[in-house]
Amino acid sequence: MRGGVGKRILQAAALTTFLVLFGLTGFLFREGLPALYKSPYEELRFAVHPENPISQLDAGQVRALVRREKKWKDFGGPDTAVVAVHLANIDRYVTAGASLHQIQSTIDSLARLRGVLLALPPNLLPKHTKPLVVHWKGWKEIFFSTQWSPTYEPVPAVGFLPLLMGSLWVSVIGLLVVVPLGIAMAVYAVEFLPKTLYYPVKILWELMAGLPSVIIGFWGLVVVVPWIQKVFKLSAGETALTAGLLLGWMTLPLMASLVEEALRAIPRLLEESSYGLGATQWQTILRLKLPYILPSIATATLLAAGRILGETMVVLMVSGNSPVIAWTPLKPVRALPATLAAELGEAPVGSYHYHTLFLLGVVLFLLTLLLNVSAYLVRPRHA
Amino acid sequence: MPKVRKRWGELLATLLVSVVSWGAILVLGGVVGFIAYKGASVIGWSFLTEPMREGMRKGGIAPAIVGSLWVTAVAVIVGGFIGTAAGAYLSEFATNRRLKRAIEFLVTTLAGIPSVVYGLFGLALFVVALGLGASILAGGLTLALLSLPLLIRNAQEAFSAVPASLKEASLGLGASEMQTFLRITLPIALPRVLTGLVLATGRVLGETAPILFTVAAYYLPTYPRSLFEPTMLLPYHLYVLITSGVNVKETYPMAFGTALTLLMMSLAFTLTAAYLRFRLKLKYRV
Repeated sequence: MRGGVGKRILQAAALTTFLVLFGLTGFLFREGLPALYKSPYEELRFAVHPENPISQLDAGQVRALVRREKKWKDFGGPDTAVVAVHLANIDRYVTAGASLHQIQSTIDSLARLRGVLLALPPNLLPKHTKPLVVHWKGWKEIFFSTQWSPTYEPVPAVGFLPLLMGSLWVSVIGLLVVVPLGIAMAVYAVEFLPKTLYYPVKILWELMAGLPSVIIGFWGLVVVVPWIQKVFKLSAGETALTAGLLLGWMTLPLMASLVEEALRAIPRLLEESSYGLGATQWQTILRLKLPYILPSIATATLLAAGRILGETMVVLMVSGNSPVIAWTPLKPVRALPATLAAELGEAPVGSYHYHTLFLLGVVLFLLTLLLNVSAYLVRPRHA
Repeated sequence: MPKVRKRWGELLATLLVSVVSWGAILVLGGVVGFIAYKGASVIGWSFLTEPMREGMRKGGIAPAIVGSLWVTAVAVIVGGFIGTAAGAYLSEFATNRRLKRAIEFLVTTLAGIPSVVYGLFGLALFVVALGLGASILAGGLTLALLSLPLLIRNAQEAFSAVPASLKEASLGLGASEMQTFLRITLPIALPRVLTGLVLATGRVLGETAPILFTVAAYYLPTYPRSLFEPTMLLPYHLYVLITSGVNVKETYPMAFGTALTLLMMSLAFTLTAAYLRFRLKLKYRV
């Protein structure tokens, strides 16, 4: 009977894994999904001058007007300059410490300009203006917009594409480093490393795997970044290439140990028959061993990809963090995890920005899950 | 003639894999050596025992060290108990094969989730939903969840490595399953279980992403008095020093000192764990 209770406790501990995964999924989705159906400016009302013929725009167009990239004329409006008035730039028109009454009267006089574009809470909106409907395209803004500036007032840009592109660059470069070099390290450890050096080398691999990522990021920032800047004659050394190289290097122990394990699991009989037929050591490695462990190499590659995609600190510190789509690896990029780390601390809980970041977390979670589950599915069955 | 050429190719290939292997290790030496070289002159008794002063430009890093130790302790104690118990269940008690497979699959899945995602989870669950706020407890629990897969897998391996003959002898003498586990299996497996805990400590100590939103304070040069307070931590302090200090160049020496402290603490744990593991492995082979 006593054993029964103890066993229950142990079973409960094992079942916490379910709890963690479901809790994690549940909370990520709960906080992330509102970004798909809410709009970032629910508390604001938009309005224009009554003589302005425009009555509806989409969010991107409003952003372009506020940024002065476009004029009213471009959307069929009057040929006047855009005067944007919103909470983040109201201090341009009133002196510091103005009373609410003064602010209100300033807004009222600004509203008489023909080119005015107001984005204000309903109680501050002057009466004699024409409401402007601003369409928010929901998930299309998130998955098809190519801009990321989530705190831009009054209409943020929350396109995931630049971030996904940044993660793609970093992961591809990281994999180009880790896959060939990791395989080479494993082959060396199995075939050529003297027995006396085997344990010291394995311990060094463990140290490499256990190095805090913030330290690698720091070293990268102080040593690798200036080096990349000098070698490629760039204005800044924080690029996708820098981050990719460091990520590739730090994932080497994982890749190498997985491949090594697979190499050691090859039946001796196969190896010996290869040698018996007169094959040399390298012929055996290249024509027998590596093809034989191809499923293991695929698994290891997928696991390494998951690790690289999710690694945060190194990317945050050495990739330059510029949320602009890059077409060469020598440009600064911003990856998914780095965005989370950099911005979540500043996003008020429950704000649209907060929900967007959680949705980004959902995307990152699903991508790594996909990689890990595929790694699990392609794993060799006999091992 | 072709044979000779083949030999040269083989030699070249061997050379290539050796250079790659030692090159990767050389980079490790570069990282450790560079930080040790630049940080050694900064670290001293006062650096390790005094709080920061003058906006992190002067003084020591003691609050960050203490904070890191607190959070790591919470994580390893909570994670250690749950992980060891779960590992014991999987190795010794799980009779339902399907359930066991499912849990093992979950452990693999959890191991692959990025640490920053655990940070999001910790923020949503512990900080916001449970109302713990940014606190040592919230950060420690987040890190405990993060280290669970490593701890469960390690404990499971440790218990499975105990020779079945010993367990069977105990059962044969009339001991119950639980008695056998507590008096035979657990004591024999303990060194390996503890090795896993040491390894997890080293990992948790250096984790940065999960603590960003769950516990870390930007500048709080006092010692935490309870588990419900935020605190400074070594990895986050290092990050702050090099990326968002008032004058980054001025805080560089402090950054190198912090980096070296963190590196030494984390290396000490990883190295101990690695040493213990290889010693245990050798012992079991004989």
